[in-house]
Amino acid sequence: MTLETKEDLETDNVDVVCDLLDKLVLKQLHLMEEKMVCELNIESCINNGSIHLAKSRYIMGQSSVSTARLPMESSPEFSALTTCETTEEDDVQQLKVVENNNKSKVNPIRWFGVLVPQNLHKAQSIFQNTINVVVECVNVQLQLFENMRNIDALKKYVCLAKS
Amino acid sequence: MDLKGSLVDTKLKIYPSKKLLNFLQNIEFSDNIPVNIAKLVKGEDFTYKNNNGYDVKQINFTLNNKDLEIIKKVKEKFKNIELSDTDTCGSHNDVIIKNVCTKDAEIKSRENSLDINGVNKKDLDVKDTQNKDLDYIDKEKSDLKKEGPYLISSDMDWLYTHLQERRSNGEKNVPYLHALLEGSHIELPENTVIKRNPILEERCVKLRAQQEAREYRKMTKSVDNVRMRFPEDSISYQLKQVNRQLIAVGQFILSIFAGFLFGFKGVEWMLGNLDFGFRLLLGVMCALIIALAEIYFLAKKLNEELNVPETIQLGGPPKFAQEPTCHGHKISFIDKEHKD
Repeated sequence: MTLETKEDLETDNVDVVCDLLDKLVLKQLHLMEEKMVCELNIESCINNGSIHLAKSRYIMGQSSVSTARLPMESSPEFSALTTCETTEEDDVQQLKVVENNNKSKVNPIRWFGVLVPQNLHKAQSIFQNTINVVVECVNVQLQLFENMRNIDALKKYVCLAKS
Repeated sequence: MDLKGSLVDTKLKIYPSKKLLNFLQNIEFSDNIPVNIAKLVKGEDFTYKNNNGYDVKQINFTLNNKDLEIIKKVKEKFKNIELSDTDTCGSHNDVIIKNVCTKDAEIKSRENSLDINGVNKKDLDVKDTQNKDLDYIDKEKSDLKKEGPYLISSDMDWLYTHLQERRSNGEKNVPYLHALLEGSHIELPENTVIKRNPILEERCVKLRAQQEAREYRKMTKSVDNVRMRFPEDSISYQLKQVNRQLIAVGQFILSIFAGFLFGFKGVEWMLGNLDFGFRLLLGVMCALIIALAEIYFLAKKLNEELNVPETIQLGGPPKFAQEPTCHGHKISFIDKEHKD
């Protein structure tokens, strides 16, 4: 089997593949940096949101903004506000944020009361925005994996061609 | 409880292998070489005479359709081999998918699987410091820590274009970038560890203990027969407090009125007939002087009452005063990190 495929390889093709491999290596490096930037973004977003949560907790009191207010297993079910869809882009799976239009949505702010401080609203919007950043990060990660697999495949190809 | 600071610089550090170093040293030195490469060739303390001697072109390394096609073709060819090659490659792919979060573990597995396949491996010792335990990092640090000049990814971009140019000029035997990078050591930036300020820690412990003591006193109040006689939250107690303050205010008003009367009437009685306007002025002056002095005392008294709350210990556990210590070490309350 291996021998057969070796015969299929064309020698001038190797140069093209090598060049492509260079590109992939560069892409890998840049993707790694991009991923770090994404992670930093997530970090700062979550920090901001947490500070606003803490402020609203300070304003409303410990017990009114706490885990005790979150829905339990026994509480009625509701659908997610945002969902993700997988799409395919250049042979790489990518996620996309989709607003859920289902009627059984619940605004999570209502768990903490009707007249909630402005900080809680701000925290909500920041965390909602964080979803986008997280999805972006996941996309970069997926691209990283795909790229790695491509590099592997091309390497094997080059090795076979040389041997 | 050390905190990790967030990253400041997200640049990868690439410590070149000997091969890459040798190659770089053979590059014709010109003005448009990036600083980092120049430093590698010329030594640490190299600086450009004119600062804007070069600019890194943003090269387009995105894959076009042709590239994608080639990848697909190569992959398809390999699918056949992989199927016959037992399932080493398949399991390797699974490993990659499973280790989504620990990047370097996954890279190691990749190296291993590459070894199994007998293919040249690319020695990417990538460290991902963010997803690992601290002791693991320490272990890594000891054997991987490297010093000296390093390259960043934009240098790699430059190198790539440089190689492309040489190739298009008809030069033969130009090495490929991925071959040059083999054996290089790529390091991810690390988080700086911020030590927790010991003074802050001390204060936190103290405040926490104080709050606990307060809560405990509140809780045990109803069963302590000394403090039971001082019901601070009953209506009569509160009314009494209000009364005391009202009396103080009443005294204030009374003394001002008396001062005014002295100026308005008393002086007239002493000296005989005076002009009405002058009497009024005299009265107001007296009242003002007395009011000033009175205000000072009133403020002092009210302030004392505000600050009073619990200066006297009435039963209950000993009130928290000084941090309990044991041979100079703190008896730790640290275990309770996040109190609700």
